[in-house]
Amino acid sequence: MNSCGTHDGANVNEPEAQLIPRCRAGDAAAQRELYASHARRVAAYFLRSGFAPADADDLVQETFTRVFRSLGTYDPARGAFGAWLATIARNVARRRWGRRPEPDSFDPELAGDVLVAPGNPHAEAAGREEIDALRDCISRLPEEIARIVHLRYVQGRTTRGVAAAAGIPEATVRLRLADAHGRLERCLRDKGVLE
Amino acid sequence: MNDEPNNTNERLERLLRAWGAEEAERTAQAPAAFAPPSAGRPRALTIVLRWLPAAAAAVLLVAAAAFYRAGLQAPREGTTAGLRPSTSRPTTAADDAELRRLRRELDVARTQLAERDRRLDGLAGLPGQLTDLQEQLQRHEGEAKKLQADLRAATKAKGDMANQLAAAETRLTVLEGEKKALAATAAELPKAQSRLADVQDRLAAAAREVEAARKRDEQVVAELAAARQEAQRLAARHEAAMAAFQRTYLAMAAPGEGGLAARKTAVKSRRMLERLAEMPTDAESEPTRRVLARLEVVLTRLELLDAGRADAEGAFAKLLGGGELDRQIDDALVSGGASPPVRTWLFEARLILTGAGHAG
Repeated sequence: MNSCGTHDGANVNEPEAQLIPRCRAGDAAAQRELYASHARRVAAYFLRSGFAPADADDLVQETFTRVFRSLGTYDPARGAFGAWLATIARNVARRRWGRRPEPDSFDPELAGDVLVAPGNPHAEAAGREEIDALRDCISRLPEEIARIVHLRYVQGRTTRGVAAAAGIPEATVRLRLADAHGRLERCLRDKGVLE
Repeated sequence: MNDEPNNTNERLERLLRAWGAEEAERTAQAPAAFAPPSAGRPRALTIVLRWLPAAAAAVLLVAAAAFYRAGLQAPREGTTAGLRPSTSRPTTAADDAELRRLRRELDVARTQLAERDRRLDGLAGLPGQLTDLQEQLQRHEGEAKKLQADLRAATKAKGDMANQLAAAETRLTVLEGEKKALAATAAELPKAQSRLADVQDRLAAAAREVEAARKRDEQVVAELAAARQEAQRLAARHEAAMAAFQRTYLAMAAPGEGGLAARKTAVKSRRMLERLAEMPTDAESEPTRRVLARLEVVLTRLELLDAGRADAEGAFAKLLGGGELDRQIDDALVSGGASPPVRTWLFEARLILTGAGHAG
């Protein structure tokens, strides 16, 4: 993102480049805007990492506390703010990694996807129209298969985690994911997204 | 649109992951509003932050007081044109000096304030460091607890091992006792083996003696059987001889007669009873006299017997009592104690009675 977020009535148009100096100067309003623009993404990262919702809230607070205390060390020339924030969030998560209630149920690689800043390979590969087409295809999936897809790709669960959440065997999870892939592939071909 | 058209699965996977990340961010519950941390702040920073506004206010108050004092002194000391155009009194050299002094003090205050800001900026990194230190401390406490638990487990295991060692030592003591007993038994074994060999030798000797005795017994039995056979053979020869003598004797004493009648005739013709009465028997032995008395009765009955009756021979044989009287006569003859006339009479009586006891 190159602008502040849209949450909590924050100024959506003020460029992040202007917010950061204000945050450094101790402007509480600017800090709230910067927080509102990134907090959901960071919270999603902690949830997809397997932390409990209450713990995820605490970790978000801790992450932004560190961000604002260390904002003086952030150098825009060395990378985007989102990447810098992602590094701090990963460090915060790493220190609490052992406290996750179901460590084997969540895929760390998928969890990291949500922190990927704009311009990353996934985002480049997946254009807006393609994602909208995929969303439409997913909405046409049978409910039990759509749920498996949601548990896997939105919640970022491992096959074991999906099986535990859905109450079905892991083999069934794999079969349903394979079925989902086949259906989505056909649907996206029909839409011209896949050749 | 598609960088790798030949890898549809990878393409779809990337799309799903991008969609999932977007959905996750979109559907994530909005976190609570950001609350700058107050608790956990380092004590030095807390003190600085607590007194910083007061210090700044004090500096500003000093500066304001200095300006105010300079304003009060200006009418008395005159004014300097151009310095305070708003005042009616011109500034003096003293005012300039005071103003310069105040400006210097203000610069010093600003420098001190900037220095404090710089130090504050320097301290800004402390919370993060302290948080890290607290986390390290927590980790160390956790490790210490784990080590304490391990120590307790190791102490308990040590106690268990000590108990097991004591039990093993007890068993070892028992085994050593058994080993000594076995050694003693092993020492006794050669003696026992020697005694056993001796007993076995004696048993073998006894067995040989038994075998020899058995063979001797068998030999004796065989000899007895042979002797018995010889005796039977001699007895048969004796009986045959006696039968031949009897036939000759009866043919001479009772010619033309046979059986009981011939015996009865022979008693009469040979005057057996008369000759017995004529023989002196006082000098004979007691057994011989008893045989002679018995024969007197038998021969008298034979002489009186009606030989024509059908049961005459049976009744006479019953009187003789089988062959008993024959053996008594033989004993008296064999003993050699009888006189020659008695011996002759006994022999003739024996010939007359031979075979009569088994008649009927």
